[in-house]
Amino acid sequence: MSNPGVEDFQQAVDKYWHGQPVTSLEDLMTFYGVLAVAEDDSGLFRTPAELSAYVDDGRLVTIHMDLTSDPAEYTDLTVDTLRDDDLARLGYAAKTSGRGADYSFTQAGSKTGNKPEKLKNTHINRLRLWCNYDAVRGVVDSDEAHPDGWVLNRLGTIFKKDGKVLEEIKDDLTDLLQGSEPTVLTVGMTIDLSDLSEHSGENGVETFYPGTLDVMDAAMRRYLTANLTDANLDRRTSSGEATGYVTGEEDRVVGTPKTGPFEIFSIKHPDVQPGLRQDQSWRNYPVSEQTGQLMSQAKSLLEECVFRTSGVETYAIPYFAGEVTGLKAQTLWNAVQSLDPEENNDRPPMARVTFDIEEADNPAIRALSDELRFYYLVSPISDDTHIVAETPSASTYWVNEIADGLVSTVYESLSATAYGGLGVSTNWDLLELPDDRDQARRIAFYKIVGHEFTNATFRRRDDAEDDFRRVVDQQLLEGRPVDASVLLGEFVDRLGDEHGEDGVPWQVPAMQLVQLETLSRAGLLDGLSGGATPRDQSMTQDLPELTDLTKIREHRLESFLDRPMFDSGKDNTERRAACLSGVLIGQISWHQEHERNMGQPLDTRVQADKLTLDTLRKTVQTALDNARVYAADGEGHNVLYPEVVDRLLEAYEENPTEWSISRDDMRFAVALGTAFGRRAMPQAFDLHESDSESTDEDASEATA
Amino acid sequence: MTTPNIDDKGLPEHCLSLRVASDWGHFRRVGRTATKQTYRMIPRTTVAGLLAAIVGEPRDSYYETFGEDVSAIAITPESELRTINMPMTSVGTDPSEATTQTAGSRRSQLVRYQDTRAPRQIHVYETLVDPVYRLDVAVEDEEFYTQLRRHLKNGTSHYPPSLGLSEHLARVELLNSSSEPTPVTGDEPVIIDAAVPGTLKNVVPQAGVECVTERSAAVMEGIGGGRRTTRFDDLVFTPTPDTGVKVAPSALDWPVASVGDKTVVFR
Repeated sequence: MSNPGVEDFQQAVDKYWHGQPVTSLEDLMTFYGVLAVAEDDSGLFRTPAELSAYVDDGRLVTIHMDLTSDPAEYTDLTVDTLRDDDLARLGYAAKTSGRGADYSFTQAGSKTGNKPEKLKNTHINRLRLWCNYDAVRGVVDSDEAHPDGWVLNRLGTIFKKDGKVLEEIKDDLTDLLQGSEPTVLTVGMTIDLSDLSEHSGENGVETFYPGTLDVMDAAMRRYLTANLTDANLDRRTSSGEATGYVTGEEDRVVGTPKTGPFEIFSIKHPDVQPGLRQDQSWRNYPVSEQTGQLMSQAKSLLEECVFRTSGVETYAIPYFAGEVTGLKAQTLWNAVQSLDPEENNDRPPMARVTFDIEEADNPAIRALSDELRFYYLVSPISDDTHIVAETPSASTYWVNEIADGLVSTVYESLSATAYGGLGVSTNWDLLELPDDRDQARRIAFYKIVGHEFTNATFRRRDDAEDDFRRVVDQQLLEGRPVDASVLLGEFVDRLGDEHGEDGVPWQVPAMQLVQLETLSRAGLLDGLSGGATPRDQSMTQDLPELTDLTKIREHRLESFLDRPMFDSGKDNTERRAACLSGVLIGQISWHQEHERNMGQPLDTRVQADKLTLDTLRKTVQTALDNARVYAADGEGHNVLYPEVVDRLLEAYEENPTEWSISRDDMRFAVALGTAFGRRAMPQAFDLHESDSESTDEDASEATA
Repeated sequence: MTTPNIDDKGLPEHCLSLRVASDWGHFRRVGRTATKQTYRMIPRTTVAGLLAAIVGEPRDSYYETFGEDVSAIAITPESELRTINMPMTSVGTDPSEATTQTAGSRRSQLVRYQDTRAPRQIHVYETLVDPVYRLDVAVEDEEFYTQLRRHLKNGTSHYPPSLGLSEHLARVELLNSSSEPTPVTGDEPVIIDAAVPGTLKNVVPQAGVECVTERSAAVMEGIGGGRRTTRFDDLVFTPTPDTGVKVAPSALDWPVASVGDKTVVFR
């Protein structure tokens, strides 16, 4: 079928939607059911389109019954060509899977045609089967019987096993029919209007068909929705009359609805639900029959909105705040049904839908992007009993803020190596973005909603069920600031994860700094006084002289430390001192490795997540000793890296063992400093202007 | 003191104002059985159950007391409504799996009881942290109201009140035994501290203030050996205690009133 138009969606919305904005997951599942049925205007239960192949080419067999008396009488059997006009009264609802009769009393044979013999032996019997299904019988003998259930009883007197009248019908059928043609079987029922519970017009008799008689429609729906009342209920059902949770209207409600792909509602496990009375579940979770049917129709569309990575499945189901309209419905359907998460498993649906709508050609659709919301739900893959994080109305506002922050951080500080930036690094999640700003923002958006943003820096976890990173993702999505102490704790654990023979790759603390700064820029970082964003040096400082390696190093260090988090104030000065300790350790280690060919430089022996203040004091002492000894080996200076040593000694107001800074804070600052120190010489070389005049001088210093 | 009369708009002449608080809270969301997730806002029907526990009403007996036209409740969050996922261990309750059947004899009745030797299962409950709610409550049921007031004044209760699960014992504090709500009306938006029944479309956005919605049970009735919900309310509220929902009283179907230092909606 071709893509449905706005009118198709408007029609479906008018017909099935309760008219209020979406406020709950149940609303959303129902709404997605509405989107699913908009494709086909024949309604939620009936499927007349399935008969389109029969129209004009097939035959309609009508068995006429007189139900004005009890028992009913078989009067006649007629055969006509099936016309379009017949479809409404047939009320056809196909059963497309499994065995048994079609859901409607009207039964269809094969599209390719049936011989009379086959119709006699199979399809007539289906009418009999249908009358005796438990679900169909529910309109006669259940707590929620239909007032006109007697119709079923009277039909049952004819459609019973080995019934004499049934044989008569079969004989008439084979007499009248010839050849193999597509065939539809239905029943015409003559009824005394005064026998019906509700009818309009005068008294008298009238002929009804499965599609025009309410009790037949109700029976069809019972049969079709039986699974909504008997799932996991051993030969029992759960349904009743109650106020629907979604609709707010009193209606027949079903007790075992399908809750989409999330399976958040189930009565399957009484062991974990104390006091659960399975067959009374309709009381606790009343979902109208229609809502239940819509919710089960929604499943495949909802499945498009999933993103699976690092052990979790993240659903980001788009909807629009405010009134539901045909255009909104169509826009969502278009955006969602093309997602295909299996094909595009590296592109989170949340980002793709957002871009789809923000960049639509139609201005009316672009205008909707302000109202775009996502129902965001994270659960472990293959565990349907747990939800890690859930937020019903995530907007893209905070994702955009963070994406902007990340782009600015990468462009303005990370890449600005002359100003202390640690430098981009390919294949590290937060250390590389494309040069084109729009494209970079888009990639940043992907990284944030695709969990890479937190996965890059937080402690690794195997247990998806309890993955704190997903809780933080949700917190950021909702625009709730993260406390620095939480981040620093995670950072230090991650440094422990990453520690190997050669220490920690410099990229890890670099990514962690990028994250601190990004959140700082987005206004989502608490508890790090002043924040992690460097001051805008390019505006206030001259470019360093690029001919003197010491000056380059000094300038870079000065710029790197020119962040509020290293300013005055007790924690800040201690953090600054810890960071400078790291810088010295890093630079000495680089020297040991590259100038002295030492196998185990100093920093490989310092493991950030195990570092104590006492170890730090001792390590810094060793580094200072080394700086003096190595300088004595060379020429000119009395200490190696004076720019660091001077600042370090200045920063040490107190012996580290007297510091009050939190342990995680100290550990991260040392690790970050070490990463910076490790990079200090290579980056100074890179920046160094190697004009012929200065080459010799610089080369001598480089090896000093 | 007489039992409060509730006018046809739903506003009581006077009401009890109390505060309920606990270290933890868990109000299982409708439609969630496989997962243990909680509402942020204590549902109105849970408040009814909590108060009935204080008075000592038997199970399923108090729905009429808290019926549509004869009761008025306003619920105002006084703490930040945040949750954590808390693993708890529990004994299975499936009668066909986790129970044993050794007590009793063939002649007497067999007693089924839980096999507490079986391994515990871990379930993760989403749990509210330090929830505090102020309740403004009026019911026309005289005996209930009198008893409730007596219990609150004396600091007593018949059954131990809790916030959701029995593990989360509640602290109950009477703030005022006869608050007098002053109606707040008009088309001008006002900031409402309490949970506001209705939809977000009535709400005037405020910069930096996040509004969330929840749909929870509001009114129940006993029927056919059980109970069923006859009304669900969509609630709009802000998860932080010092902010409120900005909305014009005339846009709501329920009465807005100031009670003490709070602006609330009775429903």
